Amino acid sequence: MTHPLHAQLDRALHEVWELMLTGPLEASDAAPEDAEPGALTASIQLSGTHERALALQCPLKLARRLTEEMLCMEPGEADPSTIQDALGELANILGGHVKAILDQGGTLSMPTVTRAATLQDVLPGSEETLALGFRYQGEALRVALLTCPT
Amino acid sequence: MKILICDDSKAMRMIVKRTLRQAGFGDHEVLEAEDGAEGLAVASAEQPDLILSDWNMPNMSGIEFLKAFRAAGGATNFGFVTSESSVEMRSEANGAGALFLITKPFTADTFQKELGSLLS
Repeated sequence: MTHPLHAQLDRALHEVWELMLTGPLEASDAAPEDAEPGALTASIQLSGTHERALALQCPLKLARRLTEEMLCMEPGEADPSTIQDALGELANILGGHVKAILDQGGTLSMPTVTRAATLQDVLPGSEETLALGFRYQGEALRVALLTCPT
Repeated sequence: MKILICDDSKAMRMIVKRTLRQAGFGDHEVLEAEDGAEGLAVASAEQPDLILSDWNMPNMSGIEFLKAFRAAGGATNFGFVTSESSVEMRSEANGAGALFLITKPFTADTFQKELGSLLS
């Protein structure tokens, strides 16, 4: 059964994508296990009536492409700190959209970007509520909504 | 005119600068600050004509920046460019003296609509 927030999260991601990036985002059934080792995870926590987090995971190769597209850079121009910054900002913007959808009040944290093996490494004790898989320019991208311990 | 862009993300400051150019405001001088505390210092020293600030930043948030700036007598036009835009935030921003709140992601059209009368 599809989670009630599935369509809204999908729409939010596409809205953000269309304004910040140039190419089409394709739905994909890529499982979490398919994430490349060393993939980057950008996450942001949403506090309020519930403690939640939003995580965006993608390989470094894709994170670099996203950064260079967002910032109109030449291929290979983005350095690691710029990639982290841009991916964090993408998570921040998506977090703002999701916070509006959830309508739970509260605050958004600062985004964090890490190179971690699993979401449990990034957000210990969290439980995944919903995850959506996509492909962009042939690379896997995953967006997950999590419930966090209070 | 001088425009101060205050955002802890360098990437977002780059996007805001590019969008200002796309909206036809590329001839203005742009100043940058990476949090509210630095924004307050730059605003006091440089007397910009417009301040575009993120809301959620380390050290000093955008709303704290605005309140401190107004409390010190700063009258510069001030608007938020932020990833959130709840009714409560808009109300607090307006109450503190902000002119507008632009939600990320934005377009050049949005900048033209919100900033056109301030920068022309």
